Amino acid sequence: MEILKKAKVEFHAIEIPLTAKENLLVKAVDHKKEYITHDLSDVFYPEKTREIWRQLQRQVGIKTSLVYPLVIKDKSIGAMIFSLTKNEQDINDYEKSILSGFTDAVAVALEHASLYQKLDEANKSLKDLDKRKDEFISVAAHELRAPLTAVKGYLSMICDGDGGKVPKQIDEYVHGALEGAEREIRLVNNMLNVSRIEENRLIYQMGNINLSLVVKQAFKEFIINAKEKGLDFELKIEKDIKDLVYVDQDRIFEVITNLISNALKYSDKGRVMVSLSNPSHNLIKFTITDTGRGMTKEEQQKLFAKFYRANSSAGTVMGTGLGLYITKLLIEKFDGTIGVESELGKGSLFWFELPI
Amino acid sequence: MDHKPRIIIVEDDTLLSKMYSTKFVAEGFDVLAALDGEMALQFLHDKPTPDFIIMDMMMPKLSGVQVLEQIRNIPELAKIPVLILSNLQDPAQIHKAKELGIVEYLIKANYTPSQIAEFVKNYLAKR
Repeated sequence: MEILKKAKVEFHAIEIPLTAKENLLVKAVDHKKEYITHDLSDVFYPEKTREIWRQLQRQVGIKTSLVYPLVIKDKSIGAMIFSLTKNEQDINDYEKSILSGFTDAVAVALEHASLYQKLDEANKSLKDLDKRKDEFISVAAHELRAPLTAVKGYLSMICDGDGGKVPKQIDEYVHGALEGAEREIRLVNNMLNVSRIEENRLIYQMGNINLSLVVKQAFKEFIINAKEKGLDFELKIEKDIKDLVYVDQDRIFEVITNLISNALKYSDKGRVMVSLSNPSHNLIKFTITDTGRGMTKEEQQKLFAKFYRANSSAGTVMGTGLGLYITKLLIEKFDGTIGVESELGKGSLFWFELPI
Repeated sequence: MDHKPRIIIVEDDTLLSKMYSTKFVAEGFDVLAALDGEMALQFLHDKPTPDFIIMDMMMPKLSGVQVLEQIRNIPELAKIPVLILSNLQDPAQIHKAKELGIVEYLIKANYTPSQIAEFVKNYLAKR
């Protein structure tokens, strides 16, 4: 290297155009063949002058230069130069085969490096795409919710009597419109939640929670609703229940209210019963049974799928078709299992189990 | 409080700005409606200092977080209670807002104007 420095040739700055057809590097690339020469300037000219290369050759003591093409999948990607202090006739076939083998290895290594680079770039652009999709969902939800907020807000003000007393019939219509707006908002919220849970981006506030307290609280919220529908609504918690579970309290509350609200929604008469029990020493089981319309086996199988709505032809029951899907995702997130048993016309039993 | 409670509502959507303003006026508040973050800062600069601020997150010129940062750096404004009312639900943004000190971060679509007015009145009554 010292000698090369003295020769004042900056190898990294050398540029040989592919149009220099007499240059051996270009020839090797073009014809995928090896070349041999006694004159180093054949390898580098038209860079600098032939005289500079010959001078360098003398200083370093080069007698022969071999140029090998770097070929991958029948395509030249460059060339290697081997400059030796031997005369051509003193280089045997074995030495040549070592040089050629080395060149092949270099070609493979270069190819791998470029593949890794491409892979890395592809990976980066995928990540970028993913980030932009997240941003899109977040912004879309924001934009969808803005006008809905106005619709819901103004309608609620009419309902609250902010604009004066509302005649009974109009009040009914406005309540209908308000309910529609609220459902639309729930749909947007649910879709946003689904994408968050599916992509593992929902932030959970995990903690040790007494499940029976959450169930009691959720149960309380539906007492009036059940009474209005004329349903028997009961809560049964096993004596001495072990109920400490490791979950996100708000999310498990969401799960329980969703299951209770579904049972009440699909039951027009009879009884809805919520219960908590310990099926084994390390499990707690929540069940809710209703005497509602029930489901066929086929419906039960599809029940927890995204956008599925039971009895959607019934018309009177509105939902987003995401509630049970989200419920299932959440229960599974908390290492639990969820299921349903049902018979058409007789009622349904929804349950989930969580480790304690 | 010996005066009408003063509130600044920072909301760039005019439909919503009008809705919340109407509600808070009806609830007996002195309302200043700022249509972007810069306007909010101008109101704060002109005084009198409000008792409460309701603010959106995504707004032209200055975002909710940017306005919060500025408010929290002005000693006489640093302690004004701010309720973020936004439909933006980005965890990073929520975290940032909470770090800067807010009363609560509510998703706008999930609450009616009267629920929000109730929330603000309860908060001011407890102070």
